[in-house]
Amino acid sequence: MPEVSAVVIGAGVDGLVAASMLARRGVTVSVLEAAEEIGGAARTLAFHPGFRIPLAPERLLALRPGLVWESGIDLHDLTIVPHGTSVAIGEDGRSLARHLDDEADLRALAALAPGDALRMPLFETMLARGGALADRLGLGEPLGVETARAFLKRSRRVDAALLALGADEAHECARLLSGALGALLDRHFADPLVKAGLAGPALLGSGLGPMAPGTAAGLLLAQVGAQLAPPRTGAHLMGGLKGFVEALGRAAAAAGASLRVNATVRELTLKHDRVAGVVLESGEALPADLVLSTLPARASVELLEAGPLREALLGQLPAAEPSVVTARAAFALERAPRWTALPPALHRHIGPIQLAPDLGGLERASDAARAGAVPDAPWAELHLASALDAGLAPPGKALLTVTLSPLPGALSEGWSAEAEAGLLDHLQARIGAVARGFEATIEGRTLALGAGAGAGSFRLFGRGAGRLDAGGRAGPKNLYLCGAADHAPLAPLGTAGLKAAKLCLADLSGLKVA
Amino acid sequence: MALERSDLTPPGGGGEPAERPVLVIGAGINGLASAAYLARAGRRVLVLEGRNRLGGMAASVRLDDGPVVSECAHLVTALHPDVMSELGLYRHGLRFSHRRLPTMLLKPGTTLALSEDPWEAEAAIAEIAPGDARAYRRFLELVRRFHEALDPLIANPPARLGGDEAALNEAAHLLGARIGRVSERDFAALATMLAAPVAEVLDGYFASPFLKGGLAFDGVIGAFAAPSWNGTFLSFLQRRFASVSGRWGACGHPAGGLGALADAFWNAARANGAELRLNARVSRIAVDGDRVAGVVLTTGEEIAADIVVSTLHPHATFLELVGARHVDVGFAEDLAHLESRGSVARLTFVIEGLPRLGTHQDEPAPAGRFVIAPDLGYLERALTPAKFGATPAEPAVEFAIPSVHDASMQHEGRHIVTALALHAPLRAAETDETRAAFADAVTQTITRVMPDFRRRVRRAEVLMPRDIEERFGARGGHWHHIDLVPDQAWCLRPHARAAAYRGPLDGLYLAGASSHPWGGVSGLPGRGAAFAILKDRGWG
Repeated sequence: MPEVSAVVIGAGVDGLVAASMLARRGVTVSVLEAAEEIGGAARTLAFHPGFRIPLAPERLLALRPGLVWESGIDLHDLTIVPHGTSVAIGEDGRSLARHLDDEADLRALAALAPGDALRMPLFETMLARGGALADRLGLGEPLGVETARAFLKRSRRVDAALLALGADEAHECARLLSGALGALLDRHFADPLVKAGLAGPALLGSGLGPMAPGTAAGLLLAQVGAQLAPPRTGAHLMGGLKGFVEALGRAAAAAGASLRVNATVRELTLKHDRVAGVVLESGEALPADLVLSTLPARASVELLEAGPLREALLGQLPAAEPSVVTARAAFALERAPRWTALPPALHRHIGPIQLAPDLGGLERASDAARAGAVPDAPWAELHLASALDAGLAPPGKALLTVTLSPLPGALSEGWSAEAEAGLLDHLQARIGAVARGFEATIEGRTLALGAGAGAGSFRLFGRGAGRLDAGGRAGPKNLYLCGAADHAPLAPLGTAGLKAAKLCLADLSGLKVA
Repeated sequence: MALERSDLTPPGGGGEPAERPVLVIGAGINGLASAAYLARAGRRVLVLEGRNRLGGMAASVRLDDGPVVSECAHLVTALHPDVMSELGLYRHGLRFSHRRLPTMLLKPGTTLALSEDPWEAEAAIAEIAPGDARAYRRFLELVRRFHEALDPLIANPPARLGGDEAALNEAAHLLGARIGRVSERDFAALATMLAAPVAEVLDGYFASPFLKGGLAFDGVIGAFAAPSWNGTFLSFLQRRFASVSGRWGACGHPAGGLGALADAFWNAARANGAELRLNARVSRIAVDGDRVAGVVLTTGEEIAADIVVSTLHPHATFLELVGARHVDVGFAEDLAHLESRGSVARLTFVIEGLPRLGTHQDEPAPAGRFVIAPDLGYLERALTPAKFGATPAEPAVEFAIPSVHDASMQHEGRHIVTALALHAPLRAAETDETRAAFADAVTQTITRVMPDFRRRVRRAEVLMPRDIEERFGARGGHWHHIDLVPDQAWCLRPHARAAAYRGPLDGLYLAGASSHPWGGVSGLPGRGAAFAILKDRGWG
């Protein structure tokens, strides 16, 4: 391959995945990160002396083994600890513990809802089957901008996969891939808490309620990462997502990519409707044959040199703000909480605990957030993060982190101190209701917004990052979008970066032939 | 005529002396279409209709001592041109009082007329949102290309899953052949948008919230859905993939209401000897082993048949008429879980004189299809209460004043307004109070864009989804029987084991709105079922 240089804007998961893949194939890559450290949404922030809040949710939902392999990460760099038990507490105060151990899991289910316990093994088998099919269809790389020929090749795989299934199983997979989560859970289970415990994590990041089509596929995400984390209880990635990004950073650097922090891009210069180079805030100019941007589409276009192309594209791209966001809260605690609402054996539980609204509650929370209001009781998942990652809290103390979803997207514009205090007070009271004495142990608290990933539900042939195409108008040919915000949600981690890199490589090999 | 027909030896039918008629359950558009296609091919057909009139949800009814108006469906948008020409509906008496009704988007202070003429529509858009005018042309072009790529899939039978390798390959071949002809960029757009939320697609093209709301209306009408939900762009296309005028997007109104369209279908069937019995409600489909033997009416009368075509909801067909014990447990359980949540209320207003648009106070309202859905958020908010059985404060409304162009609907200076309002909740029961409250919300909504509307209203009739279910037997009051979503489309419609018009029982065919491709007065499921029978029996 002739000497090709690429600039990647943003050193989050997607940017680093793309950088690593390109560098491993011989492209000269510079990664430019505006913040003072790499990580993007995976960073941790100090909020109370000795305490740090990881901005990304702990739940390791969909880390495909393939991504680790393709990005050149040394698996020894990652330590993944499966959770033995994961708990859901319903609005009525009942709790359900799901266990990694099959027998213990069935016992716990049978104690709560015997009928549902009978159906769970079948349900989990169905999910595994659906997950396998989804993987073959390319759940990891939702078809977005792809050639018809590649699609036909894939559709033959689809044919083969469908033919291997009977009509019922094929339909079942279709319902999993494109149906509504609520309807799917209703047909399998009767107990609201069993359904709630499955629904909350599956909806995370979609911003939708369980009635919306395309939400059932959220259940498959965990299946896609099943080789690294058990779908039923999930797993903890030591060091959190930050640990993963650091491993990615090392892999990218080892492949020859250069990583620069405190490097804000001011402008993308154009030449004949192609990006010619990048100008930094400092005035430094870097030439580039390819530019991959992890910024949202509109923000990427805003960087383009002023001119008719920029104007035309801006006219086609609505100033979209995310309709919903996921928030992160953290409490700095004197000591680990005692979960008094759980059975005694779980009083010192350190795995995930969901405060799980039932299906109706999840639908209402989504409606409220999408209409711009803070929901009364959004889904919340608690992790005693310091129990596994000691560096997040001073010795002897505890850090409780909370993932809160969904909240109105308008909050990403910034919120008032009162709004923040109100949300935290409310959350604190919800936690206090399941852990007596919790509120007295709080030393500090904070609220931060997680990544404002685009909301929406899964589609097999979903919108995907890649080339910029706004209302049928194409952007510069050598500008690729690889940010999560422009990728369909409910895709495995790093998908946008992986896909943009593959597209670049396909284009490069095309160039060589020509 | 029926006598002459029975004297003929059925071609390839084995030469039995008196061929037993094919029984068609339901004289809605699809039942009549099936009957017409079968009769045209020389088969004996008997249509059994439980109500006392033709048409199912596409019927006309006389308001007591008033004019005849459409009973449920009120405009023709999706009638497939192949059905019209193959059955010769014009020859059989179909007349439109208007074939090119423009869609007029309304909000207080603004009227946007989207004429079927793209140049006119573009000029109108340019006045309120200059940047969107060109985008509208690109958008229409995209829809046209989508239609070209997909029409063969819509008008041909879908594949059948489950070991039938030949059929699946045939379908893949068809799909591949089409896709091979689509350009690479179109293909990407097609693949990305086919199951997309209509809001996502419109956001990619337009800036004007008003234009997006009005267009998105077509993606959610008839479905329990918000514009941000997957699959709503497909619903939008369903309304744009046919036209009675040959121009995409225009809708028509038959003179005499939708019942006149049903009459034309029936005339086409009758001309070839089909027979019809009204007030003949089927209580049971008789089964002999794994094949149908005939039907039993509520009167106890038995009619023997080798072939039965049901236009009813699959739940009614298999679980009520056939009986769960004759079908596989898993299939029965799936049918029991088929969701049919109707979300459209139908209203008829009798009004004194013609109202005026708020934006055009000096002239009476023109002919048109009026849509009140001022932005995407409005449509989202309209669904929220219906999820929990409540009524939206501001329903989204489509209405027409057919008496403007159909003189038969004028009566003593009074005009008729027919309206569809969403999202109406599907509640356990409706009372006169709940209906009146909903009619009031709709009246209020229309009055915002037609200030003199409320004072002209003399009478309002409301059919809530539950009323539609009770009157027409459509489960949940759902127009398409079941939502048109990816996991209930094509080879999965209404179920993988009942796709391509055939169920698990030999001789039983499905021709209702829940069969491929969709309802919406397209006539296609009825046509598809008839073709399936002719093919299976070698009667082609």
